[in-house]
Amino acid sequence: MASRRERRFWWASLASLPVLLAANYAIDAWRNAEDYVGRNELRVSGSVDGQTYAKASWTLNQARLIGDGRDGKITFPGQMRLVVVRLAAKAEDDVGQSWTQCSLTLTDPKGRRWQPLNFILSNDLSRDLDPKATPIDGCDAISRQPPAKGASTIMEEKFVVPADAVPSLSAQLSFASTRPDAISFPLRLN
Amino acid sequence: MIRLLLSLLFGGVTALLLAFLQSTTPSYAILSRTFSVKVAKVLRTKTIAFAPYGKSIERQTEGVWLIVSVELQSNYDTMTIQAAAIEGASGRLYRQSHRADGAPRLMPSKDLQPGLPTTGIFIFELPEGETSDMTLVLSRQPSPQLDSEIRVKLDGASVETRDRVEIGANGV
Amino acid sequence: MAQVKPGKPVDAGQWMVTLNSSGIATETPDGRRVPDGKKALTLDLTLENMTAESSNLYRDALKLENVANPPVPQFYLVRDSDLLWDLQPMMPEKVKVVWQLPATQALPKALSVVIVGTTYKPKDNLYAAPGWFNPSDVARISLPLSVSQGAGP
Repeated sequence: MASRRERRFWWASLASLPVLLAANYAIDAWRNAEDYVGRNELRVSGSVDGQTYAKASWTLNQARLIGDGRDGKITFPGQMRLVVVRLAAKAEDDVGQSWTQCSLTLTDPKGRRWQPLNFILSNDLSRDLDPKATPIDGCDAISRQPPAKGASTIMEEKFVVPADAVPSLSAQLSFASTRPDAISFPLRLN
Repeated sequence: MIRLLLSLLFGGVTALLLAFLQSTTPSYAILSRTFSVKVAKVLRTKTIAFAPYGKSIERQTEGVWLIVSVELQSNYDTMTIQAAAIEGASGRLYRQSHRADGAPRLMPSKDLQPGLPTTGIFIFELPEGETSDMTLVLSRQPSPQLDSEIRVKLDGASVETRDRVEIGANGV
Repeated sequence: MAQVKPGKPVDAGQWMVTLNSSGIATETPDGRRVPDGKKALTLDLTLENMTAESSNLYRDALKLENVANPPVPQFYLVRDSDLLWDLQPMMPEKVKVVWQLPATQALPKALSVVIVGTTYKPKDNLYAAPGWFNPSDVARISLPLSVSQGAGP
């Protein structure tokens, strides 16, 4: 016959099992939530001139619409259009690792999101658009060699979008160090 | 003491129950039709022919070739179709055939951009008996997974049968 | 493990394997010459995918028993005279398997090939996912090795 103390200990152990399992689940859920927040852009704010984001101040340097014949000779079939976006950044501080896992995408009010073209395709297009100029690096390449404090740089990405989305596009920028926050630049193309 | 233990037990069991319910939520909650498929034409044939890089290739089969022309559209995000297969009458899965690599207008595994429909063909090889009940299964992942695939039942009555199909740059 | 005659189908779980013949060739089945200093040990077989989906996991179904240090073999679809990719379920095909060996390597008069089979488990121990496990030698086939096959230029 187990002593009263032994029995109490046994009940306490049994009672603690669900608590421990629940705690394990809660920690797992927290980790998953952390991961989700780190990879998604949940809070988007419009860019403000002079405001520092990821140790730099940002401006929209250029937004080009290609494929309807108005900019250059290249035209694309049907609804297909090419949008070229350039962002200028001035490092306000030592950038360090703040720009890793850069994400530069185009979004529209319907919640659609376009990822940039891969760098091989992008470089080929740069040469088609301007055979004499040196192609400008994309977000990924720039983030690996950010400018020194006080210096500036330009990054460029290209996107393939439908013509009907063009008038309402914004460029959305975020980094591992800033997510879930992102800043957005309306392109104002028409 | 007993009351403390009981409330601990109760709290723990409730948390566990919630955890169990959460983990068994079917993933159709995430599905929300991220891409759409329109089947334009389905051809069945014993021989396909095409000419990649000028060299002429013919492929024959003990079963049948199935050529499915589709229009794909992504609704919200840039994505790729990584897997395409036909689920036959027996339920077996016949993936896109590599024997047709190099044929023109093969649905590329390159990016689908939201709002821009893309057309192309998928080519499958399967036993004749499987064609009595076919479902096209397309997936964003390399192997079809429930929360990222689309299934389109193919209308048997509209499948066109030909002896031989030449796959040219202008379609079939 | 059973000793099986050539030409008899062997049930290897995922695959139904029938070994037909073997030989040495100076050309691979896609018409290319074997590099200088090498010879192609070729196995003729019929392979059928017995599973529920397309598969290219046939490499592990064959083991050469009496050839020293065989390299990873290449599989060819005889119908296409080209490399083999996936085999579709329930569609048996004539296949050639080629091991490129040093031309000077001594080979036995009869090739001993072991067929390795796996068993189906609807739920594995780790992910509760279906799959084929526990490879084991299922059958041994002895094939006379005829020399000097393969057309010269």
